[in-house]
Amino acid sequence: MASVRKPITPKPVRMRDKVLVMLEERCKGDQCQLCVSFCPKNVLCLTDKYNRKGYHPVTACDIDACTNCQFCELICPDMAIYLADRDEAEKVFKSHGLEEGTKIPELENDAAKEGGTD
Amino acid sequence: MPRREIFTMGDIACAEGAISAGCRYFGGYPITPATEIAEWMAVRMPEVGGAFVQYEDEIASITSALGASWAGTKAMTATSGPGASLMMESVGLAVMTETPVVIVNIMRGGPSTGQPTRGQQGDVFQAKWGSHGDYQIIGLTPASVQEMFDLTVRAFNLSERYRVPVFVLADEVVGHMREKLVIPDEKDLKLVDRKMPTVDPSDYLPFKPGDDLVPPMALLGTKYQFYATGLTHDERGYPTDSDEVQIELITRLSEKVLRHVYDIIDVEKYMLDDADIAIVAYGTPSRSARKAIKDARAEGINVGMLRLKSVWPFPEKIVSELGSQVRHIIVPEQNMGQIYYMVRAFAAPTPIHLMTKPAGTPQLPDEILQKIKEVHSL
Amino acid sequence: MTTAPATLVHPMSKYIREDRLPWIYCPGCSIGIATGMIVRAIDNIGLDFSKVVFVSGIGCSGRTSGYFKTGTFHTTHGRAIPFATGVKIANPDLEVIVVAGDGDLAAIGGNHLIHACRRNIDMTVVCINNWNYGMTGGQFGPTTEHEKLTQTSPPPIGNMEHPFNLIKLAASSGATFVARWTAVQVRRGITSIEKGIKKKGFSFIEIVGACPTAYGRMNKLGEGVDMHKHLLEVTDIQNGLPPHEAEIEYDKRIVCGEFVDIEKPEYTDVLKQMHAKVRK
Repeated sequence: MASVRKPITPKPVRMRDKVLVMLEERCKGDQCQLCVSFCPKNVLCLTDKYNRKGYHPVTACDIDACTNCQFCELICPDMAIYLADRDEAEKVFKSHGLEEGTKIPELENDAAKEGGTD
Repeated sequence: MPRREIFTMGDIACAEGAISAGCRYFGGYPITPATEIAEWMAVRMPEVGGAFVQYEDEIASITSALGASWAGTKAMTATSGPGASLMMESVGLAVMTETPVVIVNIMRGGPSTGQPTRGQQGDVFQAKWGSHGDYQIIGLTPASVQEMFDLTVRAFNLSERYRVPVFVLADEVVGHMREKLVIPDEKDLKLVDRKMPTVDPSDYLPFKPGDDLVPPMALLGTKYQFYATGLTHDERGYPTDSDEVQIELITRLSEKVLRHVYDIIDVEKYMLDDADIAIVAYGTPSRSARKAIKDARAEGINVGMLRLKSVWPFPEKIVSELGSQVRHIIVPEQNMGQIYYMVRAFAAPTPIHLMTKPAGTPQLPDEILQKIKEVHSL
Repeated sequence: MTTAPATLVHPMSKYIREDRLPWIYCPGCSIGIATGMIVRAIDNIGLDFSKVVFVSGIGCSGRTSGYFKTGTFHTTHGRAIPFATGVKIANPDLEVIVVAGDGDLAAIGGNHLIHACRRNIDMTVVCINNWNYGMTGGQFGPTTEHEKLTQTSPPPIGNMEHPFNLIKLAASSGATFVARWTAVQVRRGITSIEKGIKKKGFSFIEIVGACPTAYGRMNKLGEGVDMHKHLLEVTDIQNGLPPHEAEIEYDKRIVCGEFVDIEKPEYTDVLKQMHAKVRK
């Protein structure tokens, strides 16, 4: 036969191997909103709380939609949001080694789910 | 290089002095009467592996000299009145960031374009007070071709030792006259290099002074990673608008120089031991004064001269002591009176007689002799 | 099994003086983005950061030098380029980067800019163009457009003057690498800055940004987000376009791309050759 149909092997599912980390004390949140607007998947949104400088920092409202495109990290003018390697972040998170104001929404969500309903 | 004797002009002697002192960067711009320094440097710098760059203006010249200094090369620039006026902002930057640099001003007729080919001494006050704010610089005043060489070497040593810009203020006559110059063997010259830090880079505070009020200077582009700015800064180099830091910094920058006046001040006392009239002079008028003094002595008048080889910081104590020693002081200057006011401030109440001649020809020996006789009869 | 790191740090933190965060920039200002671009470019190349020297001028863009954790110098207004020239000539092994604003580089520093282009001295100049003099409150500058309102060109007249096109200026003065990106084209900007740093010659990269607090407010251009979104909309990427066609007009079209990438003898190389000639 001239052409042979090759079997379709599905590609492995792409996992997010990085997690979003927010540094709330550096964020100029509601006054800036560059990451919120430019995120192609509308992952980010503002919180209601205030940081020390009086801004509402940014958090992830829809973290599962994040594709690790890294644009929020690149567009942030204040180095307040970045992607960290998932394994490293989990280790630090579980050993409570995070500095004050550092938030990892995905791991916090997972921890909340594992902790059961409150 | 071994000892050499040449017959040359003041400007060239100044350039040779710089090279002997280790200067390997010259940023300049042509201006009468300092052009010869730039032209000589254009020939000599490639020979000694240094860099001569002619810039688009004097501001680039001085600012690039600061950059070269921070990268580790002894640097200088040379200009005259109009160029010095342009450079003033960068002098302030050099003071604030404590950058060693030598600025040669071959003074000419002013103000403004003035008389480019005629000497004057009108920029002496500008060297000290030309930039905005309160600060101290060092100003040296050579009066001969040999001194153009020697005082330029001294200028580099002082600027490296105290991390402060040093002005070499010569008038056009000294710059363009030709005399014998003895260039000593390199081995016989005592040169000073800036203090470098010895602490670990993570402990380095770029503007923390040593006991002599001078901070050790790290270079840009080394493991010592520091921030230097013209803004008022604390010991870390970070800008601040606190009153305390401002007062501390400005005081230290002044004290750094004033505390070491004994090391910086350089005067020549000529026939002053039994004098009851003294002439205080610098630069070309001091040469006329020397002859006038000899003539006056021949007529029995006890007159002597305090010749200033450094005018900034002003030798207050020496002048004050002179005031109590003599009956009259004569100050001949090729300007409307600049150092005169400093002498008056410190030698009062002794009467100070000003001989102004804001023109290219200095006071002639006969004119000074005339004044001596006049004053003697008072 | 690897030991857990003590804590998480921002990937670029080794280049930044973290004790000086948060930076003085207004929220929504592009200068912070440009700072990040420069740092990422250096990270991508893998330079020895202690051999990198930053020189900056006066203004908001000039404050960036204080935030890099290497030898940095904050000079007087407009004089970053001659200072950097002195540093480079005295120690050609250093990587010298000048970060300054449009007013600092093109007005008071204009003379130094064109001569440095002409000399082709090896350095990278990142000009952050926010259309006005931001730090002093928003006065018009050499890149402010005609009839725009600023503190010194108030209504009803607006700016009587016309702006420079910095790409044309740098290219015709002889720069060997000229590029323009807005603050929104972060990745492409990083690539151009990398190229500029790696290239031996005078590289000029203009980063067009927003000044929402001054220029944006006075001309009713919106908040930082709105201005950046607008910049994205009017960007027209034309790599390789001749520089005299690289127009820039905030309302209609900002041509971005790498416009000049040529080879010319570089100043410190020629200086070394001249030395060898003389000393032979």
